[in-house]
Amino acid sequence: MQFVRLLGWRWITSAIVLLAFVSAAQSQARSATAGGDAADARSPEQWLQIVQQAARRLDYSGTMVYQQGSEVRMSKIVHVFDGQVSHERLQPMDGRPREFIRRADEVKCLIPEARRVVIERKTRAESFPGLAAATTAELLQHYTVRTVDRERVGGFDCQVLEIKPRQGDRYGYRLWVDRASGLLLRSQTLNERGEVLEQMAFADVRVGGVDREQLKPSWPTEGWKVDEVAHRPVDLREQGWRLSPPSGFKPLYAVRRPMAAGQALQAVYSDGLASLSVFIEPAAESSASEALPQRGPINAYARRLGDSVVTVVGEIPAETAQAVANGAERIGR
Amino acid sequence: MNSDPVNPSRNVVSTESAGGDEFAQGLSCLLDGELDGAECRALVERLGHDEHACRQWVLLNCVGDAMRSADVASFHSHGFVARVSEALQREPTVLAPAALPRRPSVRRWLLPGAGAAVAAAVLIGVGLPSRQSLSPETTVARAPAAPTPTAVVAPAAVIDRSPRLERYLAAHRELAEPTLMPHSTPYVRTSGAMLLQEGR
Repeated sequence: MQFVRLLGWRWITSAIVLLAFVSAAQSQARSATAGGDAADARSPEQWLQIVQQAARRLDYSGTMVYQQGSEVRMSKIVHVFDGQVSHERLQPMDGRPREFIRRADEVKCLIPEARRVVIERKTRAESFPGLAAATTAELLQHYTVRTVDRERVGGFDCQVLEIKPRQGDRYGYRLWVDRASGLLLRSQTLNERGEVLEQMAFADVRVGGVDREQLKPSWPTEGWKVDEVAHRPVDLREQGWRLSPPSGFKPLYAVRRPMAAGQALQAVYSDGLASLSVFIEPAAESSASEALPQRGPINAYARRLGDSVVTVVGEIPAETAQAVANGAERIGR
Repeated sequence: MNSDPVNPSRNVVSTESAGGDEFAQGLSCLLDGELDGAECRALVERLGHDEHACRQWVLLNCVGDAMRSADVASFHSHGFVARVSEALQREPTVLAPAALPRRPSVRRWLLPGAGAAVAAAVLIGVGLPSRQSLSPETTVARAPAAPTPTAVVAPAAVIDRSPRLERYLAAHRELAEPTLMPHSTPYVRTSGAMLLQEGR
């Protein structure tokens, strides 16, 4: 992907338009029937719900472009909903060859040069049907959502949504949603000055008509070594910890998991748009309290707390990461 | 190995005729930010005109990187060492780390064996199967007497990456759940990065 980096984002954008031009006629035909007036009547909340539903329930395939700073990456993505669960295959097109094949909450990571498959499985303490419409209302307690413009993105007639945080403890977003299908075609993460920290966009996308064969791995994996990342759900309180994420961040997972340096506790929180993880590990002798380097919207802060290190990582401002780390408390067991 | 790894002799720096081992000790102190201004200057001056010293300096850095992360180590190759050595000779001023924050001293146990032992450790380090789990002693024990060249890992795009952050991001993406984009989108963000489990 060096050439992409050299040619730059401007070139990519032109390419996106060109690539998606083919599907433009198709899209317009669809919006004439399915979009139009019904889409005009949607409230910002309804738009969010439609986007959530579309990401889960639609079949689509395409090329996703990720940009952060001067870095641009492309990945091919295929998504199929079989009526019960969703299936996905993600193929990064740069770096070492990898493939991520997801079925519901299980992701198989294929590492061809090592002939290995690493299975990552999300194990919830109790099953709940994902982040459904309920959180849209909660989300609005922490963000304001407005429909702003209508713009054409990659040949698709898109509704632009502007999402602003009510407080400075999280980022804002700008979303371009296909008015016909509800699929999110472009997403920008913005800081308080309105600067784009990160951008994801479909360079080309096809909605519907996805061949299931496209979900299969590119390599025959017979005889490959299979490893599973063992996450064991834990109760943080029983482990002697109390964490205080910003309001609106609800717990998704709390697990004991392997990390490079040994076992760690990981607690994951989401406010419906942003997520953060808190890692609690035994401290090394050299562990100190410090911010880790920022990467686009990702900030991380490690805090030494007695014989432990509490590290907060997420798509949150640096101050928030530090505040969450500083809010971690050891409680009596 | 150094008989007193915790308190290596400091006065070697100013001695032009100092042996290689003592010089290596000086470099180690320099890397650890333990030298004062005058000592720093003397070392940097020598690095400016001594090719062997430069190579030693680069190797020490490689070893440190390899010990900290196999990912960072994969940026290094034989060619890399040579190129950096050249660059260092052209611009000796880049070697003024007096204000560097103190780093974990992973190098001193290697010193002052220097030379082949260091090179061997670099070669091992590049292919280091697991990171922190491998103790320095284990690495030394496994160092071959006559190091054989290992396959050079294709250098990834060199951008500002913290291996430590990458590890946390890899773990974060496993459980983070985007609500508006496809579930795999966190993998797009970190796709260029290693998998957390790689090398385990």
